[in-house]
Amino acid sequence: MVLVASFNIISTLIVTVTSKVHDIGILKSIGVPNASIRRLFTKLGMFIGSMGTFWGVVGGLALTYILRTYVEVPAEIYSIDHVPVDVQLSDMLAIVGAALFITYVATIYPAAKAANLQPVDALRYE
Amino acid sequence: MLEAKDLHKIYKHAANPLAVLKGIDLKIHEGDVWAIVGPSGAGKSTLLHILGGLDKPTSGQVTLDGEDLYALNDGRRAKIRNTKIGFIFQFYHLLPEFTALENVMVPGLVKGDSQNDEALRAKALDLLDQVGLVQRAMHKPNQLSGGEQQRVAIARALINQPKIIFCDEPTGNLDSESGQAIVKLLMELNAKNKQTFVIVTHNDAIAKIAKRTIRMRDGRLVE
Repeated sequence: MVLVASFNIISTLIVTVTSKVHDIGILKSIGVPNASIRRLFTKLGMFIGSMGTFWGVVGGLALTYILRTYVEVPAEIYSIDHVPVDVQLSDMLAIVGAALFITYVATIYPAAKAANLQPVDALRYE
Repeated sequence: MLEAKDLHKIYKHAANPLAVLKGIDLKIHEGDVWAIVGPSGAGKSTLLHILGGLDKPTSGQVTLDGEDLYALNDGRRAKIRNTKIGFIFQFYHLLPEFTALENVMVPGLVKGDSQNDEALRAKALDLLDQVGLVQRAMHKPNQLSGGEQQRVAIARALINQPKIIFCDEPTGNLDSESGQAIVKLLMELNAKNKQTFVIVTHNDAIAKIAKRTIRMRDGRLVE
């Protein structure tokens, strides 16, 4: 699921880079180095991924709370009367870590695309 | 100060390569005002972009204050573009979401030297005052006329006190009255600050008052 979401980040960033090509050209013409452009788009992608991860964790925890507290299952049919929910901190940390890592990898191509634009070509882009 | 040696620029198209610059040599000294004139397609803007570090030549060398621009890494070349070079374009190229004041401040923020933001803001306001636009400082580019946008672009080009300012048809997108005002402003700045100007132009008024006019045709300098 996280991998699928990471493709969303890649496509969002590529669209953002394409829509900002002209502005990237202006920034390069006034002396912003390629490394700064790359960092800018990497940070943007990480921000998107971090927000998604944060709200995913909040939503997941809320859902598990609801399941544990309010959802009952008929004990006469199942051998339990509630949905067994077991939130493990180690699992959460592993998933958050993987999500952030995949997010970072997803930013590499769009950030490099923005950084490697030639200033004069970017300025001509409309 | 700025020297170009045997500059060539060839665009590699699928069918036929296009040679836009065919061996350009020139030396520009501090305080000069150069006009580069010539027919459309002569290579004037390409030459300007290469001299200013915006486009790499296919071969040849550009040296600014002894540094070979295209032998430097990108970080160093960007630093030179930020601190030693100013650009004024035909179509202004202002950042649309920023105010006039913010547009002028951006190169100073990129420079990131010891001066604080308040000092930079004061400097930017002073430059806007010099170009007659301090009362429009909080307006965005879409709220300014073409001539006003070009004056903001001039102020932006000057914020880091560059040694050389490249102007690519600075009056090309303006009516004649606005164009004359821009020409007058550029000459005043040259007289006051002793900065070097290299101006690509079709404007005869600029060509007449430049200290040196060079003509280009078909990728070469023509005396």
